[in-house]
Amino acid sequence: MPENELGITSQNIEFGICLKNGDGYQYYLIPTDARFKDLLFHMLNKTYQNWKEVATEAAVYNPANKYSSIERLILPIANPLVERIRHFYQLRNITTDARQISHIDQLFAYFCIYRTTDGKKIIAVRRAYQFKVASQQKYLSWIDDTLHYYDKKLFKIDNDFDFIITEDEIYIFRINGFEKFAHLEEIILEKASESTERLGMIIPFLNIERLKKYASKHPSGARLIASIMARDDLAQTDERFLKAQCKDKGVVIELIDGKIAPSRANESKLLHLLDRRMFTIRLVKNKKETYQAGSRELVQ
Amino acid sequence: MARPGLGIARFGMVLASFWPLFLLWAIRGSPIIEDQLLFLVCGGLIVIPNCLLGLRIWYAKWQKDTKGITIENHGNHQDHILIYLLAILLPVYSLPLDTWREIDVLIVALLLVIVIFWLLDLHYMNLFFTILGYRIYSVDPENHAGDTAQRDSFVVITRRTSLIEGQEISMYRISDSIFIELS
Repeated sequence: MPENELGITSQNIEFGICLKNGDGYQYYLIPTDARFKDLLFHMLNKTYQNWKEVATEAAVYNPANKYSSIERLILPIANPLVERIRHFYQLRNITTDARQISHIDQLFAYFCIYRTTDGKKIIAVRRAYQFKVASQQKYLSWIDDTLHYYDKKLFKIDNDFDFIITEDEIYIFRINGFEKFAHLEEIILEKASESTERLGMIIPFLNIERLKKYASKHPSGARLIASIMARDDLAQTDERFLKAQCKDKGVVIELIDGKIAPSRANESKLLHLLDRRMFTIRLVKNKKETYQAGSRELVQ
Repeated sequence: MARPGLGIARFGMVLASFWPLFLLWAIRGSPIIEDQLLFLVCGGLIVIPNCLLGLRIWYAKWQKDTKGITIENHGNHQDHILIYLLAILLPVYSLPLDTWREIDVLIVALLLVIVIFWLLDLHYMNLFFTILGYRIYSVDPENHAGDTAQRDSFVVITRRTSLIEGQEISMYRISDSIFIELS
């Protein structure tokens, strides 16, 4: 039995679907034949190869970064942002029920459970766009020299998955599918208020009231807060340096109760600054240019 | 626990599980049915459904129709075989076969039992499994509030003398709620 780079063979592969009923989600396993399992095995190989080819090294996913449609990213499964994915990965003995495939209109995603030769579980997930659409198309089949109308339900499988979940990490290939499946937008917004409060505790000279209000209303602000909170050096932030950087980058601040607070309409700028997304460059004499970085990478 | 799916195959498997009864009837005979005919009918009822069960297991193996089972909240169901023998097979066997009316009663009673077994997903009660050294266990996953998957209980058939909680075993699917570990 051929084994791929992840240590998987086509022997133990389970296919499943995620149905969306209102606000809730339900997972079911759907029995498949051996040929489909071989296809799913190759689909995982292709995803892993394509993921590796995007970049020379995998970068850690940052919720505030702007990404292209495909990337080579990783995220530890222990990250609080992917609580839903972690819970999904830990699900055991998911009910097998072939009849659930008839609820194609509720299909949210499909997934595949693989097992490595040493018994570890790997799950690959794909948001169901094509899979769902295919059932509504009209198909013809070339049989006996004539075109026949094919009236049975058909499903169209994709070429690769959106992301792969392993015991320790998530390999993210398609950001959109990953974020949708993880309900990242909702989770980040949900946690924004609590995270901002923690930020205020870690940086005691920061007044967080305006930031909290801003982050709870603006998903981009909430994403910046999530990104800032992922840093492990926040407690070392220096008040003097922060004030100097605000002045240099044109972030208008004021003191409220002796603490630094962004002036009105400067909340986003301060968050960008705290997340190291504002930079100034001087290449022309007497001209200082300040930019906000949609995506950033530590060079040195 | 009943989850329709593979309906005809499950019906065949229930019928297959009644093979000891058909064997006893064939040996006992009936004054109103010729022995040859009774042997043919009972033999057919023993061989055909059990071949169907064997075919289902072979097909699952051929199609790699496996599922990674995690043992949780399990129970040993060996006693079900005993209950099945004492409560179902022996009472039905003891019904007389002397008149056509009695045979009609017997067929209806048997059909009722088969339908009940079919609906309750009790098609794993096959003495062949026990004869071949298999044991029957139930796995009853606990469902918690907020769970994203309804995890129904199911039956596993294995030669293992005991199961360990948390143990992961890859098994072949006989039906959506019955899995077998071939060894």
